[in-house]
Amino acid sequence: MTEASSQTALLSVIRAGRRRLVLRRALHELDTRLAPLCPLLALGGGALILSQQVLLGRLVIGLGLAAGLITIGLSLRRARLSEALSAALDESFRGRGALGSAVWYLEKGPRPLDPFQALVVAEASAALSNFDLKEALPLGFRIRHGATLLSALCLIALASVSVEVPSSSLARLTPEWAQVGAPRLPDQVFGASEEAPLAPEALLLEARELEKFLESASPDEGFERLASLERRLADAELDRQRLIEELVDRGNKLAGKGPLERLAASLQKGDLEDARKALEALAERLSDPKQTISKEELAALRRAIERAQAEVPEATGQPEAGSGASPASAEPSSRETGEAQEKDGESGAQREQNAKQGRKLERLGGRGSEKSQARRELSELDRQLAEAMRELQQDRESAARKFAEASETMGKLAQRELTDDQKRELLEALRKMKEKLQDKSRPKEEQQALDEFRKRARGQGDESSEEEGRQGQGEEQASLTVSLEVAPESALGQGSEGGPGERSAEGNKSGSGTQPGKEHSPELEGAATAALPTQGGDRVSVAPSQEEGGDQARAVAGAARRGFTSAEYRALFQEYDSAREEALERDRVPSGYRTRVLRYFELIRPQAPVESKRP
Amino acid sequence: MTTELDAEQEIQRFQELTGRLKSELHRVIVGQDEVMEGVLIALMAGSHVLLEGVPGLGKTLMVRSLAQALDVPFARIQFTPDLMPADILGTTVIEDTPDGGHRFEFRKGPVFSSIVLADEINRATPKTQSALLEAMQEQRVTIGGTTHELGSPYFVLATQNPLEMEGTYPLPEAQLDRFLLKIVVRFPSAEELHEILDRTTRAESSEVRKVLSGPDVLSLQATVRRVPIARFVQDYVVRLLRATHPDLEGAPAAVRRYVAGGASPRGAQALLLAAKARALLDGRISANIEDVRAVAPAALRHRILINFEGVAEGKTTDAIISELLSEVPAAPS
Repeated sequence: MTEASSQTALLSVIRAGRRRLVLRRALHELDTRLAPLCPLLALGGGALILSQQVLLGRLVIGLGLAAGLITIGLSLRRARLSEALSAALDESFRGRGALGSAVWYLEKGPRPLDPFQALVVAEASAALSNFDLKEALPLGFRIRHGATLLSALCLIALASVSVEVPSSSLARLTPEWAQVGAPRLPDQVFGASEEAPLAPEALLLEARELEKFLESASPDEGFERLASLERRLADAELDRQRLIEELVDRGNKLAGKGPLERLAASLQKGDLEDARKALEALAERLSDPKQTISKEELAALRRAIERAQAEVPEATGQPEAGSGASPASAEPSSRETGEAQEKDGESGAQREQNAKQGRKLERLGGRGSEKSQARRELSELDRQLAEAMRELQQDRESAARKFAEASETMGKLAQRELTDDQKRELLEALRKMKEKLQDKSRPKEEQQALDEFRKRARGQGDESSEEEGRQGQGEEQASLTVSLEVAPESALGQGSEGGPGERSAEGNKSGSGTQPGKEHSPELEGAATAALPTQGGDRVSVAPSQEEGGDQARAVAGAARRGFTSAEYRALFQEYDSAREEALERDRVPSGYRTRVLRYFELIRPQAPVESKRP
Repeated sequence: MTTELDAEQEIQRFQELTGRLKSELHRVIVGQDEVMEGVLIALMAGSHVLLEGVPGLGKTLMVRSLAQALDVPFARIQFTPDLMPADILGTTVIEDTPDGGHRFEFRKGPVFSSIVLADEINRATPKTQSALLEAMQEQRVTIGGTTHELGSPYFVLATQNPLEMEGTYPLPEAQLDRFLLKIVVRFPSAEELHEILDRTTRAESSEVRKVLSGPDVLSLQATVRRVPIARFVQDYVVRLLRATHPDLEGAPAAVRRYVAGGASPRGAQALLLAAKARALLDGRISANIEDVRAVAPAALRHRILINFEGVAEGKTTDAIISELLSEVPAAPS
């Protein structure tokens, strides 16, 4: 090896060694000086980001990183790399070679080199064939601090990731969320669309997740989430009610002698599980070649299904009658709104306007397209029955398959129903969470007083159930006494409204009833109407006079007797509903109260006159 | 001008000559490799060595053997409590002149030999011990206003018994500092003892031949001084030396607590020169940090003064040096 080539080889070792030494020094600095600082900054920044102070959080993390880089830079500037590299190489050979000295002479030695120094360089170059830089200069990253740093880096990465919200997710956020900048829980917890009613299991899951979330969230956030959950719970229950109504309607249409007799009876009773079994039995009967089916039965079957199909336009994809706007038309509108939100440069006001427009469309379109999963399943059921009928004229086995599919669809519809246990669990969870949140938001002194009160109340024994029921009744009277009459929904519990009840203002109705009320309150007439102006007179533009109050009360009482289907009640409701809509649009009503108002009006919405549709 | 080839030849010659010397000494000395290496390092570095050990470990034999292997004047001084400085340095006597007159004549003492064995040096009084000071450092002696140059090479090998023994006088710090190394002679192992018995109790005895002349020794010493040393090694020596001082920054906790005084700059010279000589004796051209570490105990143990607390707690300089070596990093932080 010539002198020049040996020096070149050594110089390349020096360059690589310096790079490695810089890395080692940087790691050492991270490992020692910055080890306590990094996790603190990362944690602080992450916490700020999670508490929606994204900019501040980013600033803290950025400052931390900058401080780290400056510290490392200064340490590298201070470091005498030539000495450090030579010493490190010298150390690595533990006196067996002269590479460290050779590196030093090449870097800092006199020019030309002293003969002895040149000999050292030549000797070191000759030994380079067995040289491994990684072995000679280990990075020396200790595990203890390494773990700390690793966790810090993970936190920084986590914080960075949490900041990056995909635009598609932003588009899915409802405008309220976008405005308040509230933190989002994962989609699987709250669902992709906040307003979409969830399946019973998902609602329960959400309630449990929400309970955990509330432990760490602020009361405002908690109320916001709780209101959202309640809203969707109400929606889910309303969906279920409408589904039952429509299925009962189908049952009425299919009623009569024939193979569908059992199915019709089950649907009329609202027993979806039994209806599923009826369809399954019919499918089995058709698929069994040994069992015969008479021409009369076939004709009856055809007639029943044709009768049902003739009056169900939505089963063939037609718009729903009387809804004002179809789900099909509402869906693109909301999609367009979402796309519009994604556009860059769109102003916040424009986005808000779009969002309001989207909500309006959704309201106009009944439950909204994304809400009507149950309805889609119902349409699917109708379609399957129609196809089964067609197949029945040509291929009996194929018809049996279609009936089996219809049976499965019916099973799905049945599963959409919350069981009593699930309802109880959900309501209990919501009640507890609300209590917790109220406790959280209450001042300490007030909280202590309340605790004391609870303690004393617990000591009074088990007389609560009956008493609570009465208290709840009194409360309902104060607003509109009819709600208990309306009411399978009353089972969902208006209970926590311990406000202006006439009999007891402290009542905390637990909502334990599962059946509609049987009788009216004796104070139904007059009292409810009189309460309206005092409760909402400043917000609701309807300010009934004494005379009108009497008429309205009579209308309500009469509607209650006839199951809320009278035209008089319908007109009265529309008047109140429009006033409600205006008030909610105009005023800044807290989300929780807004939900209650909406839900209440859903509960007192006029019912469809079922009997009139019967053939 | 010396070329690379000359340098290579010079080193080869060094290794050849020292190899011969080592093998000749090994004919007489059994084991004690560490001691022999120390002695050779001191010789090649052109400085002096102090051997410490209980009587009978072969200290005197080693020095005598070395003197026999080198074709240079050798003198042995047995230090006793009544030894006077003049006994070492020489004295001026009155002599008759041929014309019947008288004149003062200086009679050289044993210190004027090239190799001086100061046997049991700590048995003499400090006054007598100090008589060697000028000779060891300056290689000259001043008596009665007249300075007498000592010859080259000049090599003092002193032996001493451990201080705990009866009738010993501790060497003054200034005297100790003149020794390049202080080597502790350990008790031989069982195998070495067998070998010693075999060699010393039979009829024939091994004679050491002269293998190196005075000029050879001088040239070897010159070669050692030409060995290059990189700055980072020298930097390590400096940091190590500064760390022996309890009042300086960077001193380890043990030094701050147990050391009364650190090594002088002569200690750094000793470290560097000894490291160079060790590297050459080991067949390497360049001294490195490992060489410094290897010679540090011998080069520093007589230069560090333990304070009262250290003595009370039984701390030794070797323990302090060991801590120094583990605390002072090879690379600057």
